[in-house]
Amino acid sequence: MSGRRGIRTRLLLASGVAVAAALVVLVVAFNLVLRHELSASANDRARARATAELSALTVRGGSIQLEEAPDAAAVDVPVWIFSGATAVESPRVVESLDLAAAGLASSDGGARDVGDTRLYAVPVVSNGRRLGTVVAAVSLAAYDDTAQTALVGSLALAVALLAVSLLAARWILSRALAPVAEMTSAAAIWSEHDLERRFAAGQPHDELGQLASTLDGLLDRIADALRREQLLTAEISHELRTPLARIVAETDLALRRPRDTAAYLEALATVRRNAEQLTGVMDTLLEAARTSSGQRRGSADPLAVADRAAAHCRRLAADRGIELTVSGSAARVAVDVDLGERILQPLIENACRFARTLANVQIARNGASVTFAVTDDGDGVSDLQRSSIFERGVRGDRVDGDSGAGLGLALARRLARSAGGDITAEPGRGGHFVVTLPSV
Amino acid sequence: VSEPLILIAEDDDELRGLVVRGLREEGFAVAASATAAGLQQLAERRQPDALILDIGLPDADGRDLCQALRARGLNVPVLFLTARDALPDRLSGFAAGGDDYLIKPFSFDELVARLRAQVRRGGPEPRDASGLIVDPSTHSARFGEESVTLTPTEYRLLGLLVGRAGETVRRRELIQAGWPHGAIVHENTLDAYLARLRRKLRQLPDAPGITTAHGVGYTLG
Repeated sequence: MSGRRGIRTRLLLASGVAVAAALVVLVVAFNLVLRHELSASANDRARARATAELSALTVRGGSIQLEEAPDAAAVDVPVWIFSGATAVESPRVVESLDLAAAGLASSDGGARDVGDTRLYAVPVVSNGRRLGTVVAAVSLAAYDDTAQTALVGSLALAVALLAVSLLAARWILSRALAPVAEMTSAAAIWSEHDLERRFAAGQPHDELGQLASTLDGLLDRIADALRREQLLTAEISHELRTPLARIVAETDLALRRPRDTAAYLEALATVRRNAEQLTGVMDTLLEAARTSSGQRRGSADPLAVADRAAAHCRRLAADRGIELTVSGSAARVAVDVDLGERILQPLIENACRFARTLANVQIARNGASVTFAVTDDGDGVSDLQRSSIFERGVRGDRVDGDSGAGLGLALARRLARSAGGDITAEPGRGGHFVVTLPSV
Repeated sequence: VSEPLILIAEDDDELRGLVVRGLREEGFAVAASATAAGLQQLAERRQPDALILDIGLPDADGRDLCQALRARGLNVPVLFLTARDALPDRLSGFAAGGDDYLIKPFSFDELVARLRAQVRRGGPEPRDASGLIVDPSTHSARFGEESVTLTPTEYRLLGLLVGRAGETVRRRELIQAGWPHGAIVHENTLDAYLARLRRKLRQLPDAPGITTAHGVGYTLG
């Protein structure tokens, strides 16, 4: 239940509880202090009255003499005067008060509450001897009223403060969370309709900035994935449509008018060749699907893989006068010979196509993987091209009569990645591609 | 009546050979190249009656090549022949100045029919080129001896303006040429790109500048 409450409600609740706790402590403390002060004030008043009465007494022969009776009517504070334990003077208000006053007179003095009246006793001492006691009584009704009013008032104030603080917290929270809601909905809309848009909030300096940069990163990755998918689709489409286009064009042409046998034979040979190429492309696509779904396991000697891939390009190399070499060795790679050949061949074809005189495949071990560096002494790949070489029209040119799959670089990389490896284009003079495959 | 001359840019040797052979049988004069640079040389030598361009050429994008040819004042029909069948690709082909779009694999009869229709209608008279040359392989603009490099988007925007020099090109058309179909391009994004293009053109002495037709579009020269 609490997990389903919104973050806004939870923060609001938390701040409300904190403010309420603080207010309870404040109200309790205020009222305790106030009651203590009021009690002290009542004592002061009673003591002042008793002391005033004390000064009007005369002590004669060890006993208390009353010069004149206290004016009970003029003063709202009744006074008892005891000589020893005997009341010399009593206001005769209420019997219970008389008894309490007598009780105080026989003790050491101090204060005692009887109902809403406070009695305060002051001993009468002469020459170090206690002769009697003066007891004054004050009504506590006014003090109790004050305490009561203060309690109600402080409670009301606390409730009002709590309400105001909750309102303020709600306003601040919605102000603070509004950008989050806006960014969330913007990111949702962009991810669907406009993958080029970014928050671009610059260096993050607060939580919102971090959220913006995180969302930007996510959008980048979605855009990249989508672009890669589109490139792959375009690449597959090209790989499948080109041989198909040749077949259709060749048969269309052949059928347009009567031809001699040689022309038909040539047309059929073209159809056959391109059908084989289509088979190769489809095999590779299926291979990639099986490899990435983990259905395919195998291993091969990297040198054998490179030799087989290079063998398909020998004719192209010979036609262009390129010296094609394979060197180095390493532990077995975790792909079978067919798959490795399909990955490597387009790169070797590419090298043979762009080399001036030399193309080389160098095999080396690199940690848990095996690398095949395919280099040539051609013009190489510019920095600008390096990022786009896997997407543009840079493709291994097919060699007539060769049944090699003749894959584009994008498909070859797809295949390498599905086998847990990769293909990268390296900077520098001449073409330089590195195929990485996991070793066994 | 002389045979209409068709120029073809297609990087697949076998398919190029087939199209050349088939079109010759149909009574066209044909010259072909595997690269954008080769096609530009062919187009300079003789005025063709129509062009067939592949989009995925080894040295340039066929659409960029089309813009470069338009920028030189070549106004003949252009037919894109490509494996790219997605709607954004087809639309960008037209936005780059193409007149027709045929997807591989294609029926040879259809190719001939479309080509005949385009040639029959013919293009408008050749335009006077502005003198600004755009290069599809390097994405650069040249005027006389000086040249500046452009980003792909700048190239496509300038290519459209140069191809229709003297004419006001609407903002909408510029956006369609510059960005893929479906991209949300804000008005001030286009203005920012045009401002950058202006700055780059100023680096070319005596090159025509870009003027703004407020609320309508932009004009080169």
